[in-house]
Formats: sequence, C-alpha cells, structure tokens
Amino acid sequence: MSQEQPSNTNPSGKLIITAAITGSRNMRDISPHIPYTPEEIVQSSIECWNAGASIVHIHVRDPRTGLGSQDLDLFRRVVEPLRVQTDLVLCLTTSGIAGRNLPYQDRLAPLDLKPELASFDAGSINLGGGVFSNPPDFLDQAAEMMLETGVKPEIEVFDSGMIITALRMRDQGRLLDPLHFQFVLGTPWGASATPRTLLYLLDLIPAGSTWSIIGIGKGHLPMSVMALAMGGHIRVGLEDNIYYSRGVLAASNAQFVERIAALARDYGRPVASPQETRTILGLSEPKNQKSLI
Amino acid sequence: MEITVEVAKMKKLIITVAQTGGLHGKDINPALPEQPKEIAQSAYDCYNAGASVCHIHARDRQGRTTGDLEIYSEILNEIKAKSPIITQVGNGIGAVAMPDGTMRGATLDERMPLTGIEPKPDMLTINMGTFEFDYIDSFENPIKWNEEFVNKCNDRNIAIECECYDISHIFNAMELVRRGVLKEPVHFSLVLGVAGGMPFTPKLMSTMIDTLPEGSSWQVITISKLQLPSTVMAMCQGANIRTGLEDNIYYSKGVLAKSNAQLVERMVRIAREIGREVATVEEAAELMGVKRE
Repeated sequence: MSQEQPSNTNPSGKLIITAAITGSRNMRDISPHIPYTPEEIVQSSIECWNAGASIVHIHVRDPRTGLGSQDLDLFRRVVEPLRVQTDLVLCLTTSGIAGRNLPYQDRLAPLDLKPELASFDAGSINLGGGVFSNPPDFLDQAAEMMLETGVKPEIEVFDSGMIITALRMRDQGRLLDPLHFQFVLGTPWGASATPRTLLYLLDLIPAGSTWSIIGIGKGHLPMSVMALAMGGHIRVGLEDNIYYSRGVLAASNAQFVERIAALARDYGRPVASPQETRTILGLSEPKNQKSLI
Repeated sequence: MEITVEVAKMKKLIITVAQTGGLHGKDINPALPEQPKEIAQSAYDCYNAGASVCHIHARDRQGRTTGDLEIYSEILNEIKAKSPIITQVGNGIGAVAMPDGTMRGATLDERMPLTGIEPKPDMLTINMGTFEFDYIDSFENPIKWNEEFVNKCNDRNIAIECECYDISHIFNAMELVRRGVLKEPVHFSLVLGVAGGMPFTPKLMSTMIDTLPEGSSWQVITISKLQLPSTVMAMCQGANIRTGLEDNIYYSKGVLAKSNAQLVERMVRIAREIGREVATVEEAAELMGVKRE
C-alpha cells in the first residue's frame, strides 16, 4: 500500500484498540498483574472495553499453574461471559503456547467457538530461545478452517516474508480480501520496532488492507504513535508489554488502553466502538448475544 | 543519523511556538497575535503551557508583515518583560505587501539588518537554500549571504537554527560548519510541506532524518493538516517540535485554534502520554547552546 500521505487525514478514520489480555508467555514472576483464571481474563477484558478497546485478543491459562493452555473449556469460560456482558469483538489465538508448538488440532480448537477474529501467524520465526513454528501445511489447514467457520484471520506479521506468504495464499484463494494485518515488531529476533521497518512493511501490503501494530516492549509507544498518525490501528496489553513506562509495571491492561484512548482524543482520531470496528474490518454478523438484544 | 525509538533515552522535548508568521493574519484566524503586546501575552501563555522557544515575526500597525527593526525591538522588550521564554527571530521576515496589492518576499537587504536587533534575540534562524517558497516568490538564501549573516550572529553570541526545506539544505549547513562559521552541534529544523520544497510524507521525513549528521539537534515543522501527524511521528523518533498559528490555524478539521497556547497544550499532553519530558527554558537553552545574559 502506498502511504504517500497518512490516511488519517481522512477524519472518519476511527481507531481500533485491541487489548491482548494475557498471552501465554509472561508469568506473574515478572508482573503480578497478569490475569490467569478465566474470571480474571473476563474481568480485565470488561475493564478494557470500558476504557475504549473494541477487540480483545484472548489466550487462556491453566488456572492453577498459570501456564498457557489450548483447553476449549477454558476458552468457553471466557468467551461466553464476554458475549453476554459485552459487545466486544473476540479474537482468539491459534498460536497456542509460545515455544511449545502444540498439535495443529489443539491450536485450531478455539475456532469451534466461532470468534469473529482469530490470529493467523503467517510463517515461522525464531522467537526468544525457541522456534515459533507455522509451516505451510498448518497455514493451509488454519486458513481452510477459518473460511469454513466464517472467522476472519488476523494475519500476524513478524517479518516481511510473512506478508509475501499471505499474499500467495490470497492468490490461491485461501485468504480473502480485504486482508487484516497485525504487525508484531520488536520481538526477540523478529523485525525491529522502528519507523523505517514499518514504512517498508506498509509498502508490501495491498491497497484496501487494514492494519494494526504491536510494538513489543520499548517499541510499544513509538509504534503506537506511528500507527495513530498513519491510519493504522493499535494493540496494547500485558501479553505484549508489562511496563507502563521505563521501570514501572503497568497496573492493568485497562491502563494501557486508557493511555492510547487519551492520545487518540488529543490527536483527533475517535476510538472505534465494537460495532464500528466490525464495519471497518468487514466482519460478518456479530455473534455476541448482547448486540443481538 | 542513528535514531532511537526508546523514549526513555531521548532528550527532553523542546517545544517552539511560531505565533504569528509572515504570511496570513487575523483575517483568517482572529486569534493570531500581530501587535507587540498581543505577541508578548501569547508568548507568556505559551510559556506557561510548556513552550520554551518563541519564534517571532513582526507586523506593522495594520497587521502587514514588516522588517521594521523598531517593531522587532518593541516585541522583544515586551516578551522579555513578561516571560523568560527563548526568543527566536525568523530571518525570512515573510511576504511583504506591495502598494499594488501583490506580495513579494522580503529582500536580502531588508533581512540582513535583523542581525542588529536590539535587544539581542536569543536565536535567529537561517534558511539553508534557495527555492520557490510556497510558489509566492523565489526565497533567496545564497551561501555567501548566509555566511555573512552567521558571522554577524556569532559576533553577538546569537544562536542559530538552520531551516532545511530539502535534502541539499542539510549539506549547505554542513558546508558552513566546514568553513568554520556555523558551530556544532547544529540545530536543524526540517521544514516539510511548503510548496517548492520537500513535501511531507513519512518516508521523506525518514530520509531527511537519515541525512542529519550525528549529534545534531533537530525539530520538525510542517504546515496545515499535516502538522499533527508529522509532529507526533517526529516526537517518537526523538525530534523537537514546533507548533503555532504560523504553521497551522486549525485545531482540528474546520475548527480554528483558539490560541497558540491551545496548540502548545495539546502537544504537551501528547508528550506526557508517550513519556517524553518537556524541556524547561533553561534546559532548552542548554540543549541548543543558547547563551543568555
């Protein structure tokens, strides 16, 4: 996409804030504020919804150990209350657990709950001390299941080759336009969280795509501000970043959402409601009960 | 220049307010200060809001752009009486109205005497190249003339800010360093979006930043609707910023800014949210090598 001008010069370019509530990697030894149990994940999601998030990105954990899990029942214990109590767009993970590379059927199990969005990691990469494995046959299977279940893939991009992979799958009819990209910049050994990296990646995505950005760790604010000014969307949360500022732990996921909402207000980009988010992303009919009342 | 995106490692943010300019006037935004007392009051309000530098242009009693040294003296005296904000006079003066109603840029002979203003301004700007300013007139800035101008500033210990409207202008500044005239570190202003010079796009700004010599201090100036996107992008790459009614008469689309201070306040709020501390006047003076008596 040619970004000759920041597309937010279009004043209707509302900002989608996604909150990544817990992930499967950061544990309470580094931040006591990370939600573990389904109830904690639901509570934190509701706080983020109230603060301006329209999407929550959901992983679940074993409530006793806090370790990441792909247990469908745990997902259900998060998804069902959120569908009753909020009109949030739910984005469920298909990444599984960082570094464990679970069997495909475990990774894809959350699709049974028919979320409106699910993560789609468009390639393999070194991640910290291990390999985050997303081989072609997994991607084909994931894309096929998402097509069947009407779940829109959120294409997670850790480096430029993943965009090329997604475009090839689009040409094969496995992924449908308009594509929605989530740039994950600043992971250990992935693409760096710098303005130049982002500008390069934006050149590669097709016109008409939507995009959001995750700046991991110290890249969080600079990348968020780049997205704010360039017409992209923003993901925040304790999955991606445990610090609110240098050396200061974030007290909650909502605290991150509040800061982005405050920046967006000052900047003049209104925060998108869940319903507006559905329109922007071209999501099918909402499945949340609350919005059907 | 190597750019960090780590906000905590960036220097404090210097906010310059360009209150008046040498082009438009009260006819398009009645809040634009034109007379010395108004300019001083507005500078005081901006100082209280967090601006550390006040960029100055002069108007005659009818509000027309002028190079009249007595009016500059009056402005400087009024500002200094009210606040300690750093004073900076723009050496282009602006577009002067002719008796037949046409506009022309101030001439080199009208501009050189600015080096002799009493009381001494803390800073003067120089413009690092010749180009068709906003397609109004050739904006002449010959290197020999700039050299003489800087020498006169050096004699009086007036600090210099180098306005660069295109890539070659950065090299012209470095040529003055090579000749032993301009002192390092050079304080650059990247002015993007003035017709005849480099337009603003995120990529072009990135190229300008890459071209800056290591150790420079720098700010970004853009005009009109591009000001907010460019400014927040620059802010998270370590730049200083400029705002004010000279550059942008609107607060948001179709809504006139109520005052210069209103524009400064917004930038201070955004800086706080992203964790960039705003420089005091004393800190700004030290960062830019401004010697004050």
